[in-house]
Amino acid sequence: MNFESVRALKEELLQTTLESRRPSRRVQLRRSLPWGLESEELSPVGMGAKLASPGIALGIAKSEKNGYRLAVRVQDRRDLRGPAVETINDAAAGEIDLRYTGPTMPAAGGQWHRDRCDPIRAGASLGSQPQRTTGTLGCFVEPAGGGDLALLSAAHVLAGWDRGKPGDEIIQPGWDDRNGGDVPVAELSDAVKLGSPSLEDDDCAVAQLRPGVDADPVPGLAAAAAEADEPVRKDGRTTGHTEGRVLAVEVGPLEVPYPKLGRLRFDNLVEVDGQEDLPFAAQGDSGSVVLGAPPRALGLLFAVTGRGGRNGRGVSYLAPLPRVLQTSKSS
Amino acid sequence: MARHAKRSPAIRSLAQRRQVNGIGITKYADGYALKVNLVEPLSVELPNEIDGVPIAVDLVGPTFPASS
Repeated sequence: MNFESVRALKEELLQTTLESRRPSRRVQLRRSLPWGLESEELSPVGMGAKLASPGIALGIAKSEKNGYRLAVRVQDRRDLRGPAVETINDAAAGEIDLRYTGPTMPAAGGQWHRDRCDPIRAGASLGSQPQRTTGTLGCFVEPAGGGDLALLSAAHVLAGWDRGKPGDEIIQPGWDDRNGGDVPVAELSDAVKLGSPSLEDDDCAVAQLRPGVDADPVPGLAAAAAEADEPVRKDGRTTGHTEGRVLAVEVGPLEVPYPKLGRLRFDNLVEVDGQEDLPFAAQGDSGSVVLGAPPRALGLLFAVTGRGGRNGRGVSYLAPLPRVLQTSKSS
Repeated sequence: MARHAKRSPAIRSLAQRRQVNGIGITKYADGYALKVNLVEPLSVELPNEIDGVPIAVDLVGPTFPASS
């Protein structure tokens, strides 16, 4: 296509296909939340005028031949094969440059979270090499029976969708951030089998650090139960350092759809939301350990929503860390 | 009190509805409320309180694992 044709197609699609994905009306909540919202209306988050995250953005890219094609950038992997992208592809007669970008967030502090860290530390990107996953290093733990230092994260980060095997290589940064600079830092030692139908299991796994890998653990951090409304903070691969509050405790049963595993149920969770206009976490922050004030390790982040909470930017769910350590036989 | 209300038959029944995904305990004024998380709006009216515990509704939408 020539440049003007791509530009015209882009404008047309923005007015039609993508417009139709936006909420046609504001969702009426029957009753306002008790946290001081003045209106009983909440705007669904996700598809604003600029197709905010999670969403689809269109642009113009150079074609491999002489000419141009439609650039399609999706922030959610599910959109790669979704109906909107299919419609866009048809409209462009297949002349699209489709790429997954991951969630787009305001720059949150330093960008070290997605970089190679030496020593490795909590909040850094990591993942499973064979499972091609990306998430966050939660913290360092010691096996209850003694032994070398291990790292803790979410099971679906370290072992994928129940496909990880002991000894699997854990890389830092994770798969989506590697850019050729990833380093094997640990080996999967134990992961909860998420497909096992038990409300007592949490999405957590540990991996033994490789000899010679330099780690920077936070000394003297104890695991404790979260209290409703207490301030919290975390470092995560996608949203960096964020602060928020415990919105609810003892939340459950919560159903989370896991790819290849179906809808899994979790119980007695901690729910957190972000401050000001920011979400507390997003996809890629799984495995983050959330700290309270005074500093205590409260929970392991493993799931998020795109809306809800006091600022409407979604809530994050944590498995209580005392339970996680019990499950992973660590301290 | 909120913990007790969360175990009541009314709340257990509410938790079975397909629009509901998780019920927790949240801070409210000087006490606590039950927080009912919805995937989509409920078609029925909820009482303002159950067993004297206020009910707060939050439309959180679908929940996803947070890896990328």
